[in-house]
Amino acid sequence: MLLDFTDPPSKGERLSEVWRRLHGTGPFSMANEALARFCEILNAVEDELSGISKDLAAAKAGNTGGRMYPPDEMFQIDRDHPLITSYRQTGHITRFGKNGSIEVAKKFGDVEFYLAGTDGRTVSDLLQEKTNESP
Amino acid sequence: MNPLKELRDQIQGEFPSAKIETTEPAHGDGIWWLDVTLGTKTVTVDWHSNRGFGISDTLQVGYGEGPDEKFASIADTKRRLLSLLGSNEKPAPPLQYLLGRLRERMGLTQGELARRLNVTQATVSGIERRGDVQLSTLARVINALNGALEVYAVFADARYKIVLPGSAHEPIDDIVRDPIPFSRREGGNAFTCLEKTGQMSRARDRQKRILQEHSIMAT
Repeated sequence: MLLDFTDPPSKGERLSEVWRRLHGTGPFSMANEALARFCEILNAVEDELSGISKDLAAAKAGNTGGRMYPPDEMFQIDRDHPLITSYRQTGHITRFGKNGSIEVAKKFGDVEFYLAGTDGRTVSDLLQEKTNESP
Repeated sequence: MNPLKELRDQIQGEFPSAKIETTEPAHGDGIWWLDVTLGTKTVTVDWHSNRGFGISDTLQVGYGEGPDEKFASIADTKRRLLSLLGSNEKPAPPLQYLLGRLRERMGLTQGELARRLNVTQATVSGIERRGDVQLSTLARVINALNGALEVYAVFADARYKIVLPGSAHEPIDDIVRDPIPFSRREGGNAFTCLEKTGQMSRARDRQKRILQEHSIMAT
């Protein structure tokens, strides 16, 4: 345990810890690997710091009880970009590039987190490539 | 028609100027999203065949959480959505999740809120996790977050504001009542004294609030 909070950490602090651990673990080389590690790290941080037990059945029904959950198939959107898989959750869009890159952006705001794949390219680079390829 | 698209069409019909964005799921059993923006306010609606409709504050701080409020029918979802779009009210999760969110919105830790309330951090933690809190406790917490708790008894034909003991919004009679006759205490006429003491201004504010509340009731 690397954090020493006198108070239970806020969601913002827990998310910062997720980003910190992802930076420490990555980069990744494939989308599946990036998604798996993203889920693993978010679940681990919530297990350690949220004080709220994981309840997948309740979460599927929309009752997350103050705990943050990673995306799954239910949240997948966009089928039109060959290099990126995107997931929409209430306020965020999480994108995983085929090269293992990750980007978490607010639906109506800035990118909160990004990590390039092992080839050095970010999700933003991949989106740009698609745009450049377009006639 | 997909219920979310049906809702979208109804909302667009009522608010032609609303900006509405629909996000489709990649899979047939996924979640549909509707982001409705009217003026500066955006509310997010989600729909899934198994769990019905959800309404959320798009700008919520957390990640990957469920909807703040849940509804089974298009009619109930629409009613709530219109009410949110037409006011400064925000979608609210159940009480046991709301207080923590309001505290975090103010940038306070449980310890900092506890100091404002002169209680322990453990007490704040307990209050935040309870779904059933005494009104007086709730009022203290909301006051410590720089807000005010207002409670209404709502009926089909009218609603009544319940003035809580110790509330900052005293009945207007209490505001203007003064045991010392103005002419004897300050000299001059009573209105001048009321202006000087700020009581006239408070009474005007109170009058404005009452008129606003009645205009809401009339609609």
